[in-house]
Amino acid sequence: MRFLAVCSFGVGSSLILKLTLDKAMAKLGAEGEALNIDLSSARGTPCDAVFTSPQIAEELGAAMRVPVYGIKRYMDVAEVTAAVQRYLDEYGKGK
Amino acid sequence: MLSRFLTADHIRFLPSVPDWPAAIRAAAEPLAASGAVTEGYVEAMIASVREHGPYIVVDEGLALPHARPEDGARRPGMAMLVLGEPVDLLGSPVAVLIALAATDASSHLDALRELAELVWNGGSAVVLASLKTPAAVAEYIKKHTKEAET
Repeated sequence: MRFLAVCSFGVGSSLILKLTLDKAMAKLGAEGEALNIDLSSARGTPCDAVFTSPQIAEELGAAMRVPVYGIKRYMDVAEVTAAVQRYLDEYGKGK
Repeated sequence: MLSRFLTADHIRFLPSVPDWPAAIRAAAEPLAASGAVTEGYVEAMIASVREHGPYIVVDEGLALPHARPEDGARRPGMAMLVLGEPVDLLGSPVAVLIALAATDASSHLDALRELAELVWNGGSAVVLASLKTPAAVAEYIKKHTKEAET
């Protein structure tokens, strides 16, 4: 699976979120990759799910065909792991 | 890499600040003073929070203000501000700010990776703030981060 970590510029917070996603995926044994990317590029990038701030999730949600998860603390491994687990529970079967 | 960015002269302690934009300006001051970022970059960090919300608060008490490379980042770098009294950043209390000069999407990846590992291994905002002096924080970072292999 391919996850996008999105922030407005794709160079700072989204990098942190990507690192936390890597850690969460490793923890859950989920295979795939997490990419950090800026908000405008995210719209056209194929992926299985998007992780971003609650505010950007609201801006982005309607424009994406994949599930979008709002994360409050990008460095919070427990919060990010819970979101990845939610994705796996709802969409992960058969992948 | 992190310890090379966050040297004692790039770490400041202040008892308090009037508001969060003042905190971001104070955090970024060493980067602006050395020419690593322009004043415009500093203002863009603040504008970004106004536009997109407090997503720069990446962990309890810890904020990572930054802007786009093209907003005026000339050299990669980081600077830290530690507050005696946390400042409210749109609903989140923040005691440690690490201003990031991002010149592209990858040059500071190693430093951010080391920062994340540092926080995950116990170097939270509360712990960093308890260290009291720039030299002690710089020493803590040096001691608790591993340089990337390459």
